[in-house]
Amino acid sequence: MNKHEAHLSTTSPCPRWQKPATLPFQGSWQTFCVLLSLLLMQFSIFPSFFPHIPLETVPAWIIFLGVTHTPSSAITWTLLTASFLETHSSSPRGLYFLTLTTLVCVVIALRDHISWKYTFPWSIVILCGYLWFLSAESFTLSALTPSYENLITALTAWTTRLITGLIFGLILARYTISRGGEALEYR
Amino acid sequence: MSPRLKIISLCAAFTLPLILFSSSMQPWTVEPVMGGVQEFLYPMERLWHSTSSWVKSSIHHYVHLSKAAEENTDLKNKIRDLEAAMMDYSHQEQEANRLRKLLNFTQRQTSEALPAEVVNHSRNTPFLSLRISRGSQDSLDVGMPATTPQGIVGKVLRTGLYHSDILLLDDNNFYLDVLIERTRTRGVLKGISQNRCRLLLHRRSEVRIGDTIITSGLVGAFPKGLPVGRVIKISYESDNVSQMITIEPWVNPEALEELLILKAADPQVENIIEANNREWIHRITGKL
Repeated sequence: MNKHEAHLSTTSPCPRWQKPATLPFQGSWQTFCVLLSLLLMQFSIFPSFFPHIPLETVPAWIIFLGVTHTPSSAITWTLLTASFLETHSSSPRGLYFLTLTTLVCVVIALRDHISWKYTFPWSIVILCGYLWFLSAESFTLSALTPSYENLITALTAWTTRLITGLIFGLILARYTISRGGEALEYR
Repeated sequence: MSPRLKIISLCAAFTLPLILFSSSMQPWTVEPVMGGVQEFLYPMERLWHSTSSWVKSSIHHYVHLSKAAEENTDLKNKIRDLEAAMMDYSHQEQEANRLRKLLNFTQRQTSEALPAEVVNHSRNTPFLSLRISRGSQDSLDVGMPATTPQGIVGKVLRTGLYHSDILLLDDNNFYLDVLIERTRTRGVLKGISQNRCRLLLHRRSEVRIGDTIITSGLVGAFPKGLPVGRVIKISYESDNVSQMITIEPWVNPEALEELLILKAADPQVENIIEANNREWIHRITGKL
């Protein structure tokens, strides 16, 4: 019996939210360092190599938090991530708090009903998360300055951010599955 | 956690950010708690910026050394021309000051300019800002103008200990009182993203494509006469009363490496502080 089978057998018949010990980025300091590294990669490192390709890591990170952390921990880290984003740009206050908290709450509410050990469910949730996040940004932008030009440019940038975000999200999902995917079968 | 507490906390998680978001469409400016989080990220950004700049400049110096001699001759010629122009300008300045005195005009205040290095552009969001290497340690304050010799870049949005964020001229939350240099027509400029600004004027106001826009110096901390941008498009509104002027700023923030912060206080804010005493404003801004 391997480690994951042992975990499943000890938590049967209906193991609801038993955090697998093998999942990556679980300790507080580790999570904080990963968060800082992701933001540094998004704001500084990636743009210095690819100045015209925006990278968006945050929604995928929030989904990862929602799936692998306890609800209180996931919400706390989400609020911290949102505060980093809000004080790093000129976005209206509360925009990222609202979109990211909503996203993490939905993931927490759904996580017991989704099989996280496969890539497909991850990719669908990540896609929906990015659509929600980017739509909220575009809606706010068009509310501030209604203009077709803005909307068209926002949609073009949207597509690139969606693609780079999905690629990043799938890498994170594959890594999570490889480190504790079997144990992520909660139902 | 009990089910009731769980429902209450979930509702709070949804509603509190919603209230925060709908209460104002302005970005965070003075925030003792919120600003603190950036103090963790900024040293890493600064380290990355210094390292990458050092690598880039080393490559530039050693790989492109062959062009240095040619560039040096060009620059020497340019310096000679500029020195001649400077002589002419200093004569004109003295003459203008003499005439201002004769006419009893108020003397224009010159504000101290602090050079700052651009550490980061937040490119991956539609809500752009610049991060610079000067903060409250260098006596920077919210609202101070950020400029280059070419024109205005924006104004200080928020300050950290060793860094500040700049609200760019084309940001949707940027407003500035301006003049059309040729006709002296006054208006309020608003950023509309994509390195463009908008100015709404009366339909009969005379404007031409290519006209230069400058600051009026009447509202805010921006001194009079700083170049802002040029008119690139004129369109008429459906109300038959106004015309919408599209302006392209002189400065493209994407290419900026350094800028100047003018240590100029907003005269209106100074008047309010004087009338209500300094402790009051410090209490409001959370600086006590």
